[in-house]
Amino acid sequence: MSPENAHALVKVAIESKDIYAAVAVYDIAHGDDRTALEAIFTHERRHILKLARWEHTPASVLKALSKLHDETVQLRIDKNPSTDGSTLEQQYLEVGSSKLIDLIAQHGNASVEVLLGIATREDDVQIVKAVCSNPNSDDWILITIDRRFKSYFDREIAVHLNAPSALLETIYARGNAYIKAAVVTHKNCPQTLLEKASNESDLTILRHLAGNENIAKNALVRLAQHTDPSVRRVAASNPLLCHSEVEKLARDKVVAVRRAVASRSDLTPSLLGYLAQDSYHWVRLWVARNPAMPIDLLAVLAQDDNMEVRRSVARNAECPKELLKQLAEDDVSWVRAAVAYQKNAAVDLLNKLQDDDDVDVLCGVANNGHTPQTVLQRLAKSKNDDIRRGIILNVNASRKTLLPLLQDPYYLHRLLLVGNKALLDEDRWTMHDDADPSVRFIVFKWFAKKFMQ
Amino acid sequence: MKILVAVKEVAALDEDFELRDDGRDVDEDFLLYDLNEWDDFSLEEAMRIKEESDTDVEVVVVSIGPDRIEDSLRKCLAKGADRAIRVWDDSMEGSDSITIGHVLAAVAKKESPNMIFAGVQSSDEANASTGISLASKLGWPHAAVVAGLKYAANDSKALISRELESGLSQEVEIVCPSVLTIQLGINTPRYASLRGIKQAAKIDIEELSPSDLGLSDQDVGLNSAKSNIRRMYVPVKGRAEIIEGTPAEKAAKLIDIIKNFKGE
Repeated sequence: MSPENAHALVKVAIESKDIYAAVAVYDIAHGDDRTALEAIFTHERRHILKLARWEHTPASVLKALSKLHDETVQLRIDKNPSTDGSTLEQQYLEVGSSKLIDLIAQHGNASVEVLLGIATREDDVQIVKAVCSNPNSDDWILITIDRRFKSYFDREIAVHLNAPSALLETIYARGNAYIKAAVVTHKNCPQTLLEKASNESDLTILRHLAGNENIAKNALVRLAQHTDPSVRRVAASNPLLCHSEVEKLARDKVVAVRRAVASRSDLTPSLLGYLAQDSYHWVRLWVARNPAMPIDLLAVLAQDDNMEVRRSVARNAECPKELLKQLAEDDVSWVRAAVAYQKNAAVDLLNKLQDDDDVDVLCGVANNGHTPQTVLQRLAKSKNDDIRRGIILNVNASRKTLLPLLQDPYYLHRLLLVGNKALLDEDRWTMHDDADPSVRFIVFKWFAKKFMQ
Repeated sequence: MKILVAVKEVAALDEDFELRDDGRDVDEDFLLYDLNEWDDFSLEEAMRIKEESDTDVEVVVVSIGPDRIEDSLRKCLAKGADRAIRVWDDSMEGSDSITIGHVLAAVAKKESPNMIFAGVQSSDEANASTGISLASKLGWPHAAVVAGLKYAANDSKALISRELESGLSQEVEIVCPSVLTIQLGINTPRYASLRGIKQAAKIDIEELSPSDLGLSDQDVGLNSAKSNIRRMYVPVKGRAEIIEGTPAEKAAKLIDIIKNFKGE
């Protein structure tokens, strides 16, 4: 019987003396229960060290561990991506070690206040650079750093998502070609700078400019007609490029440019038809994946000499059933595997593919939402891990199909099953004393989350 | 028919480790323990012979170490080994790899196996000497770095394929009983089933001390070691460069480095 409430779950975790169960339920425990759980996971230093480093350790547990004042533990906590902003803030206020401050400056959960504090007070360039590269740093922090250190961190600021337009303009004016290139790629790059950049002669700048989706259309056309193929290639990928220029680039003599055109999602049927005849297979491969590809051309590509092109046809979201039937007979298993994964594959096709002797094909059958449960139940007995995993990840696998897999020898499979909606709580609970600690942790965590809601 | 498989619980380093006060090893709190990867392949090879045989084949795993190594021995039992033996007493602390080979030879004399498997090396110490010193002490033929094995229970000879340098392989016929050190990749080790894990938890692990094997304190531990660790340290780091700059700048610098390396 699975626990009926949070208190019962916490009691089981305490009785188990298992550190993984203890940390999983820590958030829902109170008073003496919390103290008892802390006693379990802080009993041995090696456990503390392990938990401080483990990426799944809950933030509340890391906060509790941070109060132990063990510098090696603190280092691990500051590196741990699960550590929350308040713990980092506390650490920042309490410790003076530059190594710890550097880790806090890099941390993805460091708050704006902490980062601003570091940006204002620290002189160590490595630490300030970490603040500059931290996505949580806001525009004011970047302006503060620029005022303190002038152009020293231009590279980092130029690529920071929160860099404000005015600062980007300043950086562009004093930067080298690489910095200018980074600025013209930025989403906050002002129109005036984009116009200015279009008159630059440096290829790095122009190549980056050609990819900016805020660029003026006439400037983009000029770049699409540039003599340098790397600039034309980037322009060919820009969704803003007008159809007439796309048509011209589809006939470009450089393969990389045609390949970039072929990867666009807005190609017309006539252009798709033209590119389907390209001599380079990567171009044909891209258009074969395009759902707008006319069926008759898709049929031609289904007979392409290159297996990757045929596989792309099989993966095409609009590939008709008849073509899939034909590709299911392909000599190359990699092509048949694409059919087995296809959401349009009919039941009779999947029934046939279940007898294939190739693992990739069987993985596709196991993963396909249209595969009948009887087939899945047979494949669940496979000795191959990938095939059984295909069933576990199959969104339509029924409880009856999944139940035997609760005994799967591969721990990751059992772990994946914990959150499966087809299973009942009583099924999940059978894994609460699993041999693998990460499975036990996920089971207790799942129930803790349920009781928190 | 009996196959003895020598296994070891190895230590992996956790990050930010600290050395012990005596400076001769890492503080145990920073070590993560697991069954040596090579030994997983050795055990699987023994299990393959057992499962393909028409006659009874007993697979016995043996390891030398304190209580904590029982986790690794139970892992072997969960994968299908019939028995597990652990040899230890405190006098064995400080034994070098040759001594370990000699202790295993004493176990082999007691068990009288038809074949002995060991891993090519352990991932933590990498001496690659235990299996060979065991064979030497027993006076048995041996083959190292075995990447392929044709052998059925009770065969008088085994045909093995050895992995050499430059992708070269060597086919060797070896008289049995013999000691083989097994290379990674010879097979695909199985996962222990949950049922196997539960059953393994109930099996008693046989515990032996050196004296049970007819060995004295002088035969084991620091007393017998011909080599001992004087210190462990992190060497001064070699040349490394972090490429700084914007993404395009980093790419350009990287291209320059590659071109320079290629002499272009």
